[in-house]
Amino acid sequence: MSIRVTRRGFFKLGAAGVASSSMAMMGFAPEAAAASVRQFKLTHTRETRNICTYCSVGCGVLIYSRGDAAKNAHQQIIHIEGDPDHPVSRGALCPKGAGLLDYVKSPSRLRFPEVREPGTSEWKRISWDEALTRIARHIKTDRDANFVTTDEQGNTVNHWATTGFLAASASSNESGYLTHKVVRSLGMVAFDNQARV
Amino acid sequence: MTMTEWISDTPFDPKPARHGEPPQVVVAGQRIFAHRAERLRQLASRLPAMGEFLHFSALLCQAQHRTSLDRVSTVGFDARAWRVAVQHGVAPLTPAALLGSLDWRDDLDALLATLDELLAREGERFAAQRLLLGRLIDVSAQQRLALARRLLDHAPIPRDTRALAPLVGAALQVAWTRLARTLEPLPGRPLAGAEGRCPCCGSAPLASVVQLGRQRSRTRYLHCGLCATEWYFERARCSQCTGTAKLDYIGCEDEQGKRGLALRAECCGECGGSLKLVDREWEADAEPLAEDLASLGLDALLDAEGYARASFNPLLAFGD
Repeated sequence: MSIRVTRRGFFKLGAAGVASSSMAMMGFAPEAAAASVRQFKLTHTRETRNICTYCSVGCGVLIYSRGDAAKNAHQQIIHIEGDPDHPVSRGALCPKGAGLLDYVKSPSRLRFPEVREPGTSEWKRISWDEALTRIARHIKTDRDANFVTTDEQGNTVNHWATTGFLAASASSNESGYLTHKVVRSLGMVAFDNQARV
Repeated sequence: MTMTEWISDTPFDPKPARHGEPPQVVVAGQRIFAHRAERLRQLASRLPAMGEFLHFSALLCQAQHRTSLDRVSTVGFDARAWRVAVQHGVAPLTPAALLGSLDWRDDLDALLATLDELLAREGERFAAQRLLLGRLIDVSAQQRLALARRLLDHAPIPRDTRALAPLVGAALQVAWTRLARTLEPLPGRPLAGAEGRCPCCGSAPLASVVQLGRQRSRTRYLHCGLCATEWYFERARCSQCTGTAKLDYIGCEDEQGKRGLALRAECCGECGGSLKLVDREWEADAEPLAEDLASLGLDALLDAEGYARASFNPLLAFGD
């Protein structure tokens, strides 16, 4: 909060406030105000800024969610639209971005690690621990088998050309730096960011 | 049909700073009051409980429209002074500076005459309100000025003149809207720290509106309570304290889940203020002042939720 609000000009406008407002003083029944909204119930929506993850352009999005945060109700995403204030996209979204809500609500959305073992056609749910262990095992085995320390002329090269790495789109500069450090320190040469649409 | 799409009907169309950006400031069109009157009539038939009040407000806006067309202000201002103010990021048309010299009292007289004529056509329906016009004519110039000051200060209005305040407010709107439409060059968006104040007259906003149209699609503007100027203000941000962390957008819907009003109230848990946010994509005809008057019942419900009304609408006056 950058401005100190004086609250001058803030009116606590309960039923009594409406009953003593100019509307009532001018001769109109103040009960009409309450009666006009009696058939409605209140809805609570939040608007949250975010960045579309689907390519490196990084378009701004506004995510609308429903559910009273004060009552700790679970927030449901009800609508996603382009952020008109975002300097990159000015509210525009491509078909991928325009379909973000369908990705969020997709019944086939991946919610946990799964593996399809060689020779089977079934996806099997596994734990995060198991997934990370198995990936690390594959990486280690392949690197141990194929790491090249010197080339045919005897020059030191220390590279590993049999595994590649594709990093995320819409990464920040900092995550790009970290990705580079991790991947290059393993000796991996085939390495790309999804720095394209 | 020209190639450019004009978004203002003043000679000085606001030009966005860079290609693709929305214009920062848009002054009111000539038909602003007529549009309000039209919308108020629509809302009167949709919300029958509020019908009488909204219909009266429609006639008040219609009288504003006629006054704004029929009267030409005879007060001359030095446009160079305005230019200097704009260059320094100061609102050139602040009421504090102009209330004494601008001829809003003549607008008030013209407005009362026109309104009386319009109310008379409705027969006995608005007899009680017609008496108010007579009461205001009898009020001394000094008292009128004091009432205008309190109203523009966004301060509580004493009980004895509270019923007259909206009539004075209506005249002030006519005078300031006319003046804002002559500004050249237009000011830019208010400087940091004053984002919630009108760049033309420094007044508080009446409501905010998510706009339509090629150049302003889905962009949010604050709508000035006094001169109806609209200025750019980011979405999902409190207009009172600029906080973004604890905003709750409170709307209304009926049992079937159908929207009741073309707006939600932007309520801030940090400063406790609420300002209505009109969405023109929901209803293209929606107009901030008309929607605000029609949703007075919502303010009482928001009070129960712990939010105070921050809106500056000179057609409404409240006590302490």
